[in-house]
Amino acid sequence: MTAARASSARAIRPAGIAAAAGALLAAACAGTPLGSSRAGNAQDVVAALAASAAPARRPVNARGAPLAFVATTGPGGPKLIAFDLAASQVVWTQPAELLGRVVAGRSLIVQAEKGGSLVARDVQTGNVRWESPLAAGVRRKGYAVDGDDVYQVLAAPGGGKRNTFRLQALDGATGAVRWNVDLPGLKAGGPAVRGGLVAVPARSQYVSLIDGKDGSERALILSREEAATFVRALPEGLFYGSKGVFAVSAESADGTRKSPAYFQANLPTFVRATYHWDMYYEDQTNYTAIDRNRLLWRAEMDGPKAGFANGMVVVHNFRFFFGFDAKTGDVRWAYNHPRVDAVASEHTGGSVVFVAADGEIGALDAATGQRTYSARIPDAAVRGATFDAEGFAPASPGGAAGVQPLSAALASVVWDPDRRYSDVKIFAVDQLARQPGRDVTGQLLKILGQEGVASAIYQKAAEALVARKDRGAADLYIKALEVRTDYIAKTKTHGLDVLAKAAGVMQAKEMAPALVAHLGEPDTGLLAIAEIAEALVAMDARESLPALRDFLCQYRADPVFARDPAALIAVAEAILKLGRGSDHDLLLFVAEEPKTLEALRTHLRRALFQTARSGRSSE
Amino acid sequence: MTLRAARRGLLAFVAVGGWLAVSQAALAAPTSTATSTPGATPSAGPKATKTKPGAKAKGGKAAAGRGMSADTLEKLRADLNADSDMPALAAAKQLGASGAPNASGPLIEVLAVGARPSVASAAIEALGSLKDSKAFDVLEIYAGNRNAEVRSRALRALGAIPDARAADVLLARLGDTAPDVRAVAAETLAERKEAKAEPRLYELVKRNDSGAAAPLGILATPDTIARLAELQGRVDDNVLATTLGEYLKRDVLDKLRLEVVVALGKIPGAGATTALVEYLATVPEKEDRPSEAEAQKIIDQRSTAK
Repeated sequence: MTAARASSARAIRPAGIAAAAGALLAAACAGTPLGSSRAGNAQDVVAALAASAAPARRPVNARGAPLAFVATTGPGGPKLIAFDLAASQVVWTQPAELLGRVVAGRSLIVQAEKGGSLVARDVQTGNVRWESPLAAGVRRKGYAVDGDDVYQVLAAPGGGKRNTFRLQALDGATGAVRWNVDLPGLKAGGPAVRGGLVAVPARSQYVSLIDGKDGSERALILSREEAATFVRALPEGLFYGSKGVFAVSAESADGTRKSPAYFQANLPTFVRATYHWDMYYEDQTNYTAIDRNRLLWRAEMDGPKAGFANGMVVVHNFRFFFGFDAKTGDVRWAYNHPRVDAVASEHTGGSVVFVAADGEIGALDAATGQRTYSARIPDAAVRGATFDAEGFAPASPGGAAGVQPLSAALASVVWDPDRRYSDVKIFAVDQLARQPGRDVTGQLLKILGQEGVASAIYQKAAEALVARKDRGAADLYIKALEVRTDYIAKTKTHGLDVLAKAAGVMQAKEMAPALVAHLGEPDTGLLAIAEIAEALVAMDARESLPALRDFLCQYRADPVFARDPAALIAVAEAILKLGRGSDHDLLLFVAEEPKTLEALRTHLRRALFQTARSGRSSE
Repeated sequence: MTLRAARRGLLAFVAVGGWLAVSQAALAAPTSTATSTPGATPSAGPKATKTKPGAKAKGGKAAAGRGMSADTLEKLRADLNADSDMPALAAAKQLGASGAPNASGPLIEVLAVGARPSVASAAIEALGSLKDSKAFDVLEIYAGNRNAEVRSRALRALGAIPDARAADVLLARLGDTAPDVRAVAAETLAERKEAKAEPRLYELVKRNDSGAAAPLGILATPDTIARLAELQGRVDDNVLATTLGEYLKRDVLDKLRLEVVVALGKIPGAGATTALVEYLATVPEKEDRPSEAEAQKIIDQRSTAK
């Protein structure tokens, strides 16, 4: 880093253009660099943190109100709308075509807008305060606001294929450059800032902590075991990481996963574990699909140990939100937003706030998933939003009684008509199956009986129905079994093999008559027949012998079974196991009668011989 | 008991006759009240099919009310159980044609122990000719056979049996997934004049099931016909015309016929014209019906339009 103060950018008031962009990176630089030998120095980190002030747990904007800054599109052109969540009303609307996220400060907000300029707007009115354009060839890696101080990381072509990177501090009131700092190395990402301390990820595994007053580098974190692709400032601390999260502290100065400052959630496979967007990629400074599919989390510190606040992490997956126990991966709550995607979301501490693509704004209790807030921006097609709503936590309507049972919430996910989210639905079925109760069994049976259910979802439900052994819900199984294929009634028997298997595992003899009835139906699948026969044996349903005999005799010589005699063999086996003397006589006849299918004859001869031999042995 | 000894036992068992609950129950009872219900045991043989000592072996068609001779019956039973189809099919045909009250025994037996589908079909058809109520149980089983052709034949045979339980089986098979089986069930119900089939037949016609069209016309009440006429445009014209045309052939008030003729007149296409023409053909020459005149008028108009 060079060590001279710079002031080459000039403020445009109210909406002028800043200084010649090409001069931006040519300007002299400020700041005191640390040598690489200091990387991972815990004392440096502690000193840097001590010099920074913890922000209050409330919105940072001068109104003091929880605000959502919403980027919309539509017939009237792109707009930026400030919405007061507490008052449930639009504060202002301005025409604006955003190329980057809104970042909120005290008296201003900043965002990249059409043309590439970083534009500062008055938080009270949305009027443009100043613009800071980009010079040709220069790219903006990201920006951050601390109070009214603005920081941005810029990349400019260097020699060959190399870029040079610079952290630039701008005066929030004027847009004037306060200082520039050259960042060493070939790679740097967007900044985060907290209490006057600017964090910049660099060279994949470093995080530079820079004094916001003068650009001096105060500490250099070395992330040894995983890339540092993001830095994030929260009231509870500064964080960095990629596959997990490090709380910036003495313990994470040389980031290793065994550090108590490291935390990572245990999540199911369908979750895309994005703790934050990758700040090396400037396209992710804009609102993207990442905002619809990511993790929402807050942290809590217990001395050197860091972890997820309340042990929870929230998954935002397009239209669905799930609250997870970060340690066990168990789902605690689920919320299914109807019809349209939630395009932006934020964890405010007590709540998860979100904006849907149709302008609906909602909040969920972060602990229970209960919907606690609802408002709407009329006629809006939302493409992204930023929240300045720290601490926003509307009261839960109806208290704990108003919380939707988890099983009901999961069922709503399963039955969601949107076919895009099969992975989420598979997860929901899996979690649903872990819940106790007849209602859940009923839901699983409903999945089994539904036409057009994705095979993976069906399979999950099937496995669960067999595994849960819910004998108390035998009446529900019987009801499902009583559904017959009927062209007029437009009904079809589904999942008969699964129901039979479940009945056998439960040894639920009361289900035998309903199972037996399917042996006489022409559409009963061969697999189901075999499962029914095995189930009848498992439940020792001797009263089913007449139906088994009828089936065996009716088809023993039917060439249709020649290719796959397993069902016939299973029925014969059931007769052998359940039957007595005269039944064995019948089996002998079937085994010996020349018209009987050869595979069945062979099997029966062997089985009868073994039965006779074991009978002799027991004598 | 060794396997060998068991085989010897089986031979004796086979010689006695049925081992299925259904055959045992059906054949043991002079009139059929037995069903293949859980708990039934196949311990006893079918007495009706046993060879009577001293019975003469005579072939040919038995006189009405007289049974076939024991020898003939034994020979036909043996043929039915032959390894090849030819003698089995011939035996089934002969038994069915005999009309003998004891002819159903071997047929029920062969179905009870199972046969190839071709022989089963022939045995079922023969039972249909014999119209023996004792065959109900075994026919009910085959009405659920996995082979649609076998099912259809079982339904026809059931339809011929004067047993009220047959109607329930036929009604259930109206919902069969195979259109041909549905059609047979519908026709058989109509032949039996089973009025309770009307609601399900109506639903089939609503779904353009052509096999149900004529049967519904045979069974439909005037109210149903009125409802049907309102379906025009939503149901296939030919299906609707077939139902209405069949209704016209029934002995109903001419006022009702006239309404149906008018309804047919609103249905375009050859199906409706054919129904009207067929109706005119059924009208006695000397009878003067307004419905006839209306039908003729419509046909003339259609001819002129062409």
